[in-house]
Amino acid sequence: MPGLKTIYTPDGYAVADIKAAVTRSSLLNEVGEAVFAIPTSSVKCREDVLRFGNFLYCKNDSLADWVGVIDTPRTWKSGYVEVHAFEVPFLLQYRLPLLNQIVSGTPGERFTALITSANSKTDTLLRAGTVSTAGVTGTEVLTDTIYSQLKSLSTIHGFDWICSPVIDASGRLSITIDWMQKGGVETDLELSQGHNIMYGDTPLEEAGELINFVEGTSTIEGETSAQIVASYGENAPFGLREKRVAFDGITEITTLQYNCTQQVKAGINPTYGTPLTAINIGSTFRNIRLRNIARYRYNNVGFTGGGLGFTGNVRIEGYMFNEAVGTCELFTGQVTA
Amino acid sequence: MRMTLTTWNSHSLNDTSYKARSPVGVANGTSNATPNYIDMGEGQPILGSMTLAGAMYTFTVHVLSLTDAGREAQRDVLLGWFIVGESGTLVGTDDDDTNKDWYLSGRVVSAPAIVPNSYNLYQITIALDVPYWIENDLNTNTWNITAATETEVMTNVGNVAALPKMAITPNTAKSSNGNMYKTFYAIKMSTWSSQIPVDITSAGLNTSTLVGAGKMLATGYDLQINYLSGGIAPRYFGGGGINSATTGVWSYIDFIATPPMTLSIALNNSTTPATIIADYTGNITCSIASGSQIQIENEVITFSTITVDTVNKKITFVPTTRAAKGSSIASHSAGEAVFWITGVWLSYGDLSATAQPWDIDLSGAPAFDLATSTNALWNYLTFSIAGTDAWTPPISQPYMQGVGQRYTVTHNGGMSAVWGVIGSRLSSIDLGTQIVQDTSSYPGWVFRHPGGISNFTANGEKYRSGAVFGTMTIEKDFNNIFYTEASPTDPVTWKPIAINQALAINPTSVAFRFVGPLDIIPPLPEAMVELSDAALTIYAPPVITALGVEQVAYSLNGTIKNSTTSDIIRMNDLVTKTAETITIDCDTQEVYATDGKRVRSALGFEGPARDEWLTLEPGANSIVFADVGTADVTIVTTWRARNTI
Repeated sequence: MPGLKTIYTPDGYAVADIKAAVTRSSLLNEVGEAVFAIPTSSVKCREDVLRFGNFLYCKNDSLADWVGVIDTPRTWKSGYVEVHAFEVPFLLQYRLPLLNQIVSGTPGERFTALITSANSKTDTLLRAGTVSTAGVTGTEVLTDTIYSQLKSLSTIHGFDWICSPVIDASGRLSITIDWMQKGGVETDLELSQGHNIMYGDTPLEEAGELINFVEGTSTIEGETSAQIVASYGENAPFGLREKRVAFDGITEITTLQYNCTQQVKAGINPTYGTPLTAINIGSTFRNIRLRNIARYRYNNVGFTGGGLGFTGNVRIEGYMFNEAVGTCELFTGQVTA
Repeated sequence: MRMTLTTWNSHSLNDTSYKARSPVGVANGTSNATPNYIDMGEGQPILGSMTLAGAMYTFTVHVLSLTDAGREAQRDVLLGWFIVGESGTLVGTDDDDTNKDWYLSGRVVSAPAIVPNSYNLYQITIALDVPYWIENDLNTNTWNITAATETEVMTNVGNVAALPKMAITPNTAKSSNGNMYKTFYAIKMSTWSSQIPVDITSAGLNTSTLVGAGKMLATGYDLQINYLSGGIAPRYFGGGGINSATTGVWSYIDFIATPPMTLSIALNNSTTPATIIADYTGNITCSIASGSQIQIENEVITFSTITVDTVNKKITFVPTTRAAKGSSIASHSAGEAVFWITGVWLSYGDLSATAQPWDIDLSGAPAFDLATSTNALWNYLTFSIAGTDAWTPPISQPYMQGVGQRYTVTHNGGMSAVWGVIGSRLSSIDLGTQIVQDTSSYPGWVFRHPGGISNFTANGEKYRSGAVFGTMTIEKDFNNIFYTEASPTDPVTWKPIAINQALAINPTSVAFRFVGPLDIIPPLPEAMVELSDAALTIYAPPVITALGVEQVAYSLNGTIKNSTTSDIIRMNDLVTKTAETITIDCDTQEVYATDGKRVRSALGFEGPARDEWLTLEPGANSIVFADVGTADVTIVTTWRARNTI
C-alpha cells in the first residue's frame, strides 16, 4: 500500500518527503494520531523537517489520505526518533473564541463561524468545505475552546465533521473540513470474520446507558438568570429511565426540545461495540472511509428477532492503519440490527 | 551474479595473499522475513504482511601463505581489517561480466573466524545497509533537450528498480512559459514571526520602466514572489501600483529569531573558507535551518550545515557559495555583524502569463492600505478586506478581544464585510422595572506587529447619551495604558477622536479598549467609540536589501515522466537561471539548487501512488521531458543499478 509521505510547513509549503512506516488513526469527530520513526542518521532527521507545528501528509493507494500536525511527544531512542502527529482539529484545542462571543444560526452557520474564529489570529489551514445548512436555528455563547465548542455542536445537533487534505495547483496544502448531518454512505463492503476481519475475543458488545426520557434545562445568564426547561420521552421495553441534562448556553426552547429528542434517540438502544481488525482482501481498504456503512455478519453472537446471530450495518467512525503489519483496526458505531 | 570479492575498504582480497569468494548455492545476504499471519478464527490464517529481517552477508577468505607463520600473519592483518561494528564497503566482480564491479556496504558483525576443519579459510559476516549489490560505477546519461517535449531511453541493468539523480541545467533562455528575470531580496527581522506582510520592494520598484522595456506585463500578472524553498507566494501591489515608478510588492514572510552574531574570523574577498565562525550573544532559542543563507554586509553566503557551541557561544557555518544570489564578494572584518536571512526571488518576464489567483481574489491581501503603508507604517483606512477567504490576512487585521458589543459600520450600524470602522458600544441593562450597570463588558480591538509598535495614531468619533462616557483607552493590557480618551463634551452628540500616542514599551500588540460601567439614569444610557482610520508605527520593521542586480531567470514549468511506470515529477515554477543546476535526487528524495538550497515546494508528483519519486525499472525506461518553451536544457542522469544478492 504505497504512498508518499510529505512534510509541510505550518503555512502549507512542502519541506521534505520521508520514508517511514506510519501507524495512523482517523477518527470521526475526534482527533486521530500518527506515529513514525526516523533514523537519526537520515538526512531527514532535521529540525526544520520534524518541527512541532509542521504537517505530515500521508498518501495511500487504498485508504483516504491523512494529514496531521506534528506535536509532542517526540521521543529520542537509540538510533532513531519517534515522532507523533495529530489530526488537524487538534489545533482547535488551542484556539480560543472571543470570550462569551455569541454565535447564531443553523448548526452549519455556527460551525462556519467557529472555523472563521479559529483562523482569526493565525491560520490553521482549515477551510470550511461542504457545510450542511440543515438543523434547528439557535444561539449559543462561546466560553470554551473552539474544539470543545465544535464537539458540543456536533454532539447536540447530530452532525459529523471530516477533514480532507487538499493540495492546490501551486502545491500548497490546506485542509477542508466538511460539516454534515450524522449519517453514512452505504457501501457494498461486507465485514465478515474469517474473510476480511480478524477473529476477536469479543466480537460484539452491547453497552451504554439506556435512557428513554430526557428533561433538558438551560440557565440563561443575564439580568434574571432565567432557566428554561423542555423534555422528551418514548416507550421502551426496559421501562422508564429518566435523565436530566443541563444544556447551558441555549436560549431558545425549540433548540432545547430538539436536544432532548436527540438524546432519547441516542439512548433508547444500547451502543454496539464491534472490535474489528480488517485486512485488505479485495477492495476492503478502498471502502474504509469515515461515515461509510458496511454490512456486518456474525453467526453466533447477538440477538436477531429473539434468535442467535447478528447481521446489521456498521458505520465506520474511525480506523487505525498499521502500515508495518498491514491491518486496519476499525472503530464503528450505530450498528442497527 | 557469481561474485569474486576483490576489496574491503580498498584492502585487496584478491591477490597473492588472499582469495575471497561469495559462497555458491547458499541463500546469502537476502532479507529473511517473518510472515505476519492474521488469526481468522475458524477460517484459515491469512498472510497480512511480512516483517523483513536485516540482511546478513557471509563470505570466506582464503589466506594463501604456505607456512603457518605466514598464515597467522595474514590472519592478523585480516582481523585488523574486519573489526566488529565498523563500517565498510565490500567490492566484487561479476564472473559473468568482468567489466562490472558491484559493492555491498555494511558493518562487520562477525570477525574472521576459522572455518571448522580447515586451516586457511576464514568466515566473515557483515550486516548490510541495503540488501542489494549496488553497481560500483555510476551510469551516466547526458541528455541535451532542444524541444518542448523529448524522450530518452535509460537502461537499468540490475534486476531491482534503480533511483536516479537528475541534474537539470538550462543552457539557453526559454522562449515562453516562465519568467526570464529575477532579483534576490534579502529580508531579516529581529523576532520570530510567521506570515508577516512585507513590502518586498519598499515601494521602490520601477515597473513602469520594466513594462516599457518589454520585460514585464503592464498588468503585472507575470510578477511572482518565489520562496527560496520553491513555493510561489501570494503578492499584492502597493505604493504607486503596478506600471509605476514606485511599485510596492506585498507578500507574506516567515522569520526566525536568531541571536545577535558577529564574524569571529575575518573573510577575504576571494576564497571560500572551510568554515565561517560567528560569535553570538544571548541564547539560541531557535533552529537555523541547514541549507540556508547568511548576510554579512551586502554579501550573501549560503551554507550547508551549522554547528552550535553553546559553551563558547560560537556558531560554525559550512559555506557552500560566497557572493550567492547575485550579490558581490567582499572582504569582511572580524566583528562585522552576521545575519541569518530569509529571502525571496522577485521574478518577471513571462509575457504570456495570465492572472494569478491573487490578481483575481484580493481577499488574502493585508488589511491595511497598501498604497500608503510601508514596512515601518501600517496605515489602516479600512480594517478588513471582504472576500471568500477572509481569514487569511489574520495578523494585519485587528481582532476582537473581550466581552462586549462591536460594530464595523459607523455609528453602531452593525457588522459589514469590509470593516469601515471598528467600534465598541457600552450600555446599561434595562430590566424593565429598573436600570442596572453592566460591569462585565470590556470590548476591545487588538492590533499586532511582532516587531513592536512605537506609535499609534487614529481618528474616529465618540458618543455618550447620558452623563457617563466610560473609559476608552489605548493599552497593552490593564497595567499598560498609554492613552485615555476624554469624555465627549456634550451628550447625544458625536464628537471627534484624534489620537497620536507614542507607546513607551513598543508592545507587539495594542488594544483599542472601551470599559464601563455607565450610569443608571433613564433613558437607558449608552456610549460608543469608533475609529475610522489608524496607523501603526513599527518599532523594528523587517529590513530588506535588494542584493545583486537583475539576473536572467529560468523557470522550469513542466514534467519529467517515466513512461514505463507512469511516474511523473512536476516542476511548478521552479526558478533558477541558465548555467545553474537543479538536482532532483530520487534516492534521498531531495531537490536542491547549485548552492545546496532545497526547493522541495516546487515539486509535485502525479501518476500511480508510490513510495518513490521516480524509479528506473529493470531494463529500458522511456523518460519524457516536457516543458513548453524549452530551447536548450541538459539533463545529466546518474544511477547505480541494484541487483539482488
